[in-house]
Amino acid sequence: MHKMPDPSGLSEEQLKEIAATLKRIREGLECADRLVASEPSHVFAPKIQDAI
Amino acid sequence: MSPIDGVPIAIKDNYLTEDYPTTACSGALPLERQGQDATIVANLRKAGAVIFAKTNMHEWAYGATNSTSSFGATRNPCNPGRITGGSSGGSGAAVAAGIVAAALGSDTGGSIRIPSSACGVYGFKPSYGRASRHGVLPLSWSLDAPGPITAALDDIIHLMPFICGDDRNDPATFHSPAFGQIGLVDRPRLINLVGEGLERSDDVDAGVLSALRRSGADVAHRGLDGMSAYFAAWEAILHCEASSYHAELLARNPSGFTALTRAHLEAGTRISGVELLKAQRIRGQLTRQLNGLGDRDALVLPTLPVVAPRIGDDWQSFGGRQVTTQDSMTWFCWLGNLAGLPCISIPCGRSPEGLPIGMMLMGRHGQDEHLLAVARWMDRRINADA
Repeated sequence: MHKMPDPSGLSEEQLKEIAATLKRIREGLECADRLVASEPSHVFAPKIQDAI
Repeated sequence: MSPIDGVPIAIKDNYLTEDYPTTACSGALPLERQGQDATIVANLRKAGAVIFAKTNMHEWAYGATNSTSSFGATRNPCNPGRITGGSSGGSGAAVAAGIVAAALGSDTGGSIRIPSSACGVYGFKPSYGRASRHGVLPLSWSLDAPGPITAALDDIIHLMPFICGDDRNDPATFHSPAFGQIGLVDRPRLINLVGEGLERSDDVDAGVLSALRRSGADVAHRGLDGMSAYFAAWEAILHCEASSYHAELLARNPSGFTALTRAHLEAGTRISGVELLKAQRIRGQLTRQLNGLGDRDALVLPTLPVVAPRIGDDWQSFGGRQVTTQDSMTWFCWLGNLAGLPCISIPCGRSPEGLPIGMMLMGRHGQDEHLLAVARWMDRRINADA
């Protein structure tokens, strides 16, 4: 059975690169739970919130 | 006359310049003049600087090796078989080769400091909000900071009054003070960050520790918890903001981007809103943790965990880790962008094979002048014989 092409039109290698990046980000964010437990979502670094 | 009257300055190709095309070294933008200067370029020109040339960079500043550019890879003047690092690699190379005394770069995860370290020169990333980003093509607008690369530390001090200050075209700079005087400091107190996630090669470690000893600074050693979470937060914010900025151009001209940049941009579209907000909360926590490390004048790290890698080497091994060359370049530097801190890279020695080693100092947000005073104190002791 043929695999459906990805709608983004990216190659297999590019898709692997993306999957690896997203895996790394999600694993990192998951292990941050204890860091942000008491962190209000509206407090960012000084000045940076002005530009978001 | 200003202190920079008649001084030739090179400009990274992501700054708009009235008299040169601006392409961010990407095939997606036309090789045409934009007829406009970025705020910093206009300030330098008004002060009498000669806008000398545009410099090569990693495509869209979206990488730290300077191996990906529509104008070809940049070679390191210290050893042409080595990369310059990036993304302001052309600016670092132009200064290191003695073509210009100073060049402008931009820094989202170390892109000023990385080539400065790899090429043996000085690079300064101001605090977020001190220097106008107006007319600098963005990579990630809440992480980006423009700044100089120079052959001498005093040249950074001469340039900063024309780089910092309130610009009505960049809201992040509103109420930002003009650049002040650089005072004198006594023996500075430094915190040398070490531990998990902050590994470095033996050569680099020995070079930085030797320089710290020679300087006579008061140095304490501390770890920093949560490095993988902080890195994930930086990377999530970077990809989301870059994808948002490039969405329209990417849809119109996908073949103008290299495959690797397209993959990064696609990754940004697949990060959820919840994940991005979590990344922003982690950013707040980093600021608090750094503030809680104790009384100090600056944090200290090597700028890079390795010396300039060989062209074509995709992986680097150090401190029991094997990481991509790309990740090795940003290894320490992104911390300063995530927290918006002023950071400087100064040369601090050479490896046994003769390649430059850089030391990075990170100050407190908004205290750029104090960080430069500390850096000058250190530089005069570390590089007295240079």
